[in-house]
Amino acid sequence: MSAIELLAPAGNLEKAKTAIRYGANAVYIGGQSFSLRSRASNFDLDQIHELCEFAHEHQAQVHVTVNIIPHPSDFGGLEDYLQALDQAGIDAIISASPSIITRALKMETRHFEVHVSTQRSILNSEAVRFWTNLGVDRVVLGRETPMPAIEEICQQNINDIEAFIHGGMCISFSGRCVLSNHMTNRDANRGGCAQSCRWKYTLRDGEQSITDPERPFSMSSRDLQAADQIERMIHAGVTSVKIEGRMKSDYYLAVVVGAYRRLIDHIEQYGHADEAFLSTICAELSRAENRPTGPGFYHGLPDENVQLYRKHDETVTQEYIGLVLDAHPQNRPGMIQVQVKNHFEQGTPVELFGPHIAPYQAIIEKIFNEENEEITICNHPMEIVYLPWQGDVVAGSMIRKQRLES
Amino acid sequence: MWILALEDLSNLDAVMECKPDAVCIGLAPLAARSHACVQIEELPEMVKRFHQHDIQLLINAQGMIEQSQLANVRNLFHQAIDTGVDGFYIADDGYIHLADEYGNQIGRDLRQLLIIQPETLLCSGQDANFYLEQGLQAASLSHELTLDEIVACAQDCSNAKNLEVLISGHYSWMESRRPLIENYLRYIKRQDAFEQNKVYTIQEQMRDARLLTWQDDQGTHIMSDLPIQAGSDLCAIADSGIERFRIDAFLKSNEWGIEMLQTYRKILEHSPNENSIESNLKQEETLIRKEKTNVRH
Repeated sequence: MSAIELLAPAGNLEKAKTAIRYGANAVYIGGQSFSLRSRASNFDLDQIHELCEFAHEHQAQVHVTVNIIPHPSDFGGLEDYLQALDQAGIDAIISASPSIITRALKMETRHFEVHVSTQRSILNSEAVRFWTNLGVDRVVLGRETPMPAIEEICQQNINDIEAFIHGGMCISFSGRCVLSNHMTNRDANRGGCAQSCRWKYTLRDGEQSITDPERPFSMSSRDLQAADQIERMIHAGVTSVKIEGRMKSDYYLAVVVGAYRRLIDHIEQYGHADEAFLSTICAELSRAENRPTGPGFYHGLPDENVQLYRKHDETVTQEYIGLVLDAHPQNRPGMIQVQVKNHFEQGTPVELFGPHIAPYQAIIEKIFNEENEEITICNHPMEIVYLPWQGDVVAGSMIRKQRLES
Repeated sequence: MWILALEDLSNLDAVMECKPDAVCIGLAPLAARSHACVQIEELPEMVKRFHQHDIQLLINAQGMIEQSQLANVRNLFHQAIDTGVDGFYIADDGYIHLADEYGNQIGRDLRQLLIIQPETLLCSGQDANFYLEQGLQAASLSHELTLDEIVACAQDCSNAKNLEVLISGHYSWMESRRPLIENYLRYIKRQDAFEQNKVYTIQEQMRDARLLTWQDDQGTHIMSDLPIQAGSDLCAIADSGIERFRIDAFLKSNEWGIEMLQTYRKILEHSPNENSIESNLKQEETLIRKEKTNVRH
């Protein structure tokens, strides 16, 4: 078991299982009540229970976000929900509401921990102390907390500390933005954020526009990628490093979780990751990128190179072409059973990576359909095919097209 | 209790003459969103001046505390307490522990000096109650609540009289640690157009509202295009048991603040003047589902 927890997001049961298989020590999910990201697939209690069983079998944990900022009408059913979560076997809740936090702490029987959400924008040791004195088990720091501050806070050994390392970043102090509320009537603090910060604005000085019409003002930012901070976080004693992205795909999770898993394991084994190794990890992380990434606040105050001013819609990569369903199908010796995700054909240069399997290259030499007929092209997503295969592979491995150097 | 947050330090005689129960000024560099800032050396004189007129002096200490600033913040906080100020508006929970720490040293309960005011985050009586039960002086409700929600908060709070509502003034829509204006102007090679602390506006390309925005040492601030106005809804707010009403003259003028104070006093006395103010409190609760809103994106 690694000393630092790798905490991954999951929008549904399959994604959660993928994250755990690929090496997450814990996953965080939303229930169907009291959670932000209400548009993300959220878990009902049966699914939470099933996930807890799966996670615990794999020595992993389940954290449930109960992180809305409630309005007066939002408290109905809270106590029952917290009890139900406890009975489902969860390991922690993450909350931003002081009254939800204290209700959880006061439960007569409770087997889960209570973690304070990044929505409280905790940036200093005194705020950590305040919440620790109330009895919380962990504090998730605000994303504005620079690395020296994280180290200083951890050094004081006040409480378990969790810090973000990857994924989307709120432009504002988390929880302190109501742009969406006022511009669209969608509540950012109850799961309805319209990401108004990413829209285009005209900036004026008085009546004079000082905006480039081709590149209007925007507050959109690169996503966070902090692989180069993992070693410092491990040495500082950070308890958990967190990946953002409950709405992200299985492929994204597999790539990102797998890469950070390899990085953490390497550092914990050798004490250090050199530039070459770090570079391979960063290259791997870039395979999952659907938005450009940057260092957030870890390299100091973000400058213009960390902002996105042009149109930067999330791109859908079509590199991911197959999911290995069965690495050793009984009726097809020497082959793997694959579910087609995107177009590929005979001769396509690919890479395979999987749970604890670093990416390696291969060529699709032959393809067989379910009737054992050889075919040359796969262009029906969800189609099941069989590929002769030699290298390391397990169920749940993923196949993607190689990125050829231009 | 009528609280007037000043725009600047001008015309203080007129401010005192209109007799708010309390005045709020900023303490540099702890304040956020305040032009009415004093340095710590100036604070004792300010305390004396307002106390002579039986007006409480509350301090805007709403900046978020970074770890690197902690020592300085602690030092200034202690000094400010020693001057005899009547309260601190805070947005960072770290102040509560700082208050405990110093309170233990000097044998005083200093939590009762704190007013939690995170601009948003306090959307329920239950969350506000948490801070009041922790011994804080008051809790300022979020500005995006409807009148019904404000009343419901008061009903859910064991000590509604210590809830506070912004009844008039601009309010924060977003606070960012990032230097967003400077970054953008540098990107388009218009650094010449950037000035720290200057108030610009931003207007979303499909909307009419021009939001006030500036950048300072703390980051970038975006405020409402229009000041909130409770108007005659103030009566319902007062009837709910809430007793603290804040008028914020920031981005307006002290004269404006004085006028609002006088007007709202009359509204509460049920004798509005000829220019009674129309309430622009939110009429409908914010929603969380995209398909239920008229989103133009």
